[in-house]
Amino acid sequence: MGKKLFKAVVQSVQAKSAVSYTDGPGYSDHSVPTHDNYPED
Amino acid sequence: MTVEMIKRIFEQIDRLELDQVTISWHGGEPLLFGKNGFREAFEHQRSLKTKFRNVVQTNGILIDDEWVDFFKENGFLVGISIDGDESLHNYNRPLRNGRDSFNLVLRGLNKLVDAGICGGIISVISKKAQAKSYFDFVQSLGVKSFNVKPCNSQWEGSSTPDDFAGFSKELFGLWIENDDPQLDCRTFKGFAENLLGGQANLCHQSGRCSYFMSINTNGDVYPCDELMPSENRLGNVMISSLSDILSSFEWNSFCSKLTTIYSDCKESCPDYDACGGGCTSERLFHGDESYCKGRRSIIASVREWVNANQAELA
Repeated sequence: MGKKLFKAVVQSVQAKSAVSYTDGPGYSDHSVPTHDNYPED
Repeated sequence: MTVEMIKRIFEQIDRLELDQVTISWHGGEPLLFGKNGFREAFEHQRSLKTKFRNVVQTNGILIDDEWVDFFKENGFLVGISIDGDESLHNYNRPLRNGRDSFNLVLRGLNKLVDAGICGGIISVISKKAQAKSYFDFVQSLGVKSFNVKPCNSQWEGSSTPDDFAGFSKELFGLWIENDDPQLDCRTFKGFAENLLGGQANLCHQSGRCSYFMSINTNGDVYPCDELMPSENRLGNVMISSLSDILSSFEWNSFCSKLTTIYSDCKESCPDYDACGGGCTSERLFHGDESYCKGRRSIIASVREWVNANQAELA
């Protein structure tokens, strides 16, 4: 199951042999649903 | 945060002479900073030597055609925080006045998808979330990437580590059953990449927690937004330079703490090869035991999938 996905992951690993960046906390969004995250509408 | 402070931060980064730096604009809600503020900050960034990469994580409510043009013209990658279908999202994220936010968020998301600049969605999973309906919803959006986070605040709708692990395992099953390489789940993919000898991109899978700094609106610097406010404050950009902060006792102490955590994991845990160490803040604030148990149960499913496919290819 998931053969096409698996091949895509393998290709991703090969393509990233010279990894250029790591996604940090903001992009991975550790936020929880505080109600202050929205502007007044 | 003022434009002047952001310019100062960019200048301090530039003096570090790094090859590439990612600026992750997040909050709160980063678009409240306003278009003029973004434009001015970006123009200043562009005048410096450092190669900057910009990503924005937003609730999408303020996104209009003008924002889309700005992001597209200037190479910003934009992620949207949306927690599932209408019912689920509105349960999690009402506006301050109590009204629903789903349609406002979806309108912004659709604009980004249409313009081809949506970096994906991130969803906070509360206890009401069902994996099947969540995955159906993700598929309906036309996005190329999604990720899920546990809702582990003190809120009544928060999920327990076991809830989240169960949800994630079911979601993983749906993701591989769907078998669409155009739909990426960053956490699952990251575990698989680590198992295949690669390097996951997400911080909590990479053992590279010390590659980041978070700067608060008042200029306070922390190793991560998840570690503020706490005893982990490293300094303030209006008082010290980032260069000074990076050579400070506080920064070195934090890095030493990380080294100890990751070394312990590496030596004692058979799943470190996939896990990459996990999120420092979740471990510090929510405890190793419940956190690691859930994470390892997800990894078990990913490992099984990777091993089965590797055996088939061999």
